[in-house]
Amino acid sequence: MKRLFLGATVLALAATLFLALYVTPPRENQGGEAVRLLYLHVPCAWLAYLAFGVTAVASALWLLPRTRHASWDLLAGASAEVGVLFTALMLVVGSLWGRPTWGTWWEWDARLTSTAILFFLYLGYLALRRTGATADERGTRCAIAALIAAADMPVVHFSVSWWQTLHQEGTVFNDKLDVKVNGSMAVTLLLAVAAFTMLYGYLVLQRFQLAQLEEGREERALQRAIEERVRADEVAVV
Amino acid sequence: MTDNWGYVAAGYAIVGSALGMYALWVRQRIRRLQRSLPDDDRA
Repeated sequence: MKRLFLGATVLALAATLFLALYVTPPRENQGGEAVRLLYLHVPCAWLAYLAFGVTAVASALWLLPRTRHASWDLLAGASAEVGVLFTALMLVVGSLWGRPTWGTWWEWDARLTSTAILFFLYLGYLALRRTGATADERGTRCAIAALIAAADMPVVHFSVSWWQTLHQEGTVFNDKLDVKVNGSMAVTLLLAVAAFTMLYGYLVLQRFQLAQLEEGREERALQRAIEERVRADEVAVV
Repeated sequence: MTDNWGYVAAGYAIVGSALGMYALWVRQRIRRLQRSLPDDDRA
């Protein structure tokens, strides 16, 4: 099943690549051929929102006593790690697109700055996950941090409406829900978002499985250490 | 028409290699941990 899903994801990504590089037209007012970076930049931005959204929901479910389960904490961590990767790629691709379009690699405008803050907030969250503590302590500490960091997401999204920015309004999700692309560009963008979302699903599942294995190994090591200590104490008594 | 294929190539290469390397890294670590499972149980 997992292999089938991975196969479908690779196929969707290959189709996106073909459409993005060979079928869609260039746009003079958006960097000419560089507009093809749209099919990477928008999906990465969408996945940053989705990944950190999943982290926030999983963190809230961990904090609620009725729904508390170790899996929520592991899912929050897995999704945040993949989200940080997509945010970094969004920033890099945006910078590559900005150079030919705006004439600059970086501008401290509201959208770019709030996105950079989002990236560093979740980088800090990942660092927090590695600090020594029991699984319960770590889960609670990280869940609170994830919910605080999530407050930056609406700021990132609405920054282009709240402030005057060099960054354009959203291509799809803008104030008037006026989709700025059509024809082959719209189809390619839609496919790119779907393909990248599938890839996100695959990566999070893999990272979640890895986190479960790591957690299991730590538990077994702790159990062995306790057993050895008990045996040593018994020998000492005899 | 402005030719900016260099930026496009760089973007696709960076995204492709970063995502590919991350997927391989996670998969390799899963396999390594799965292989070490019987050893853990034996110890």
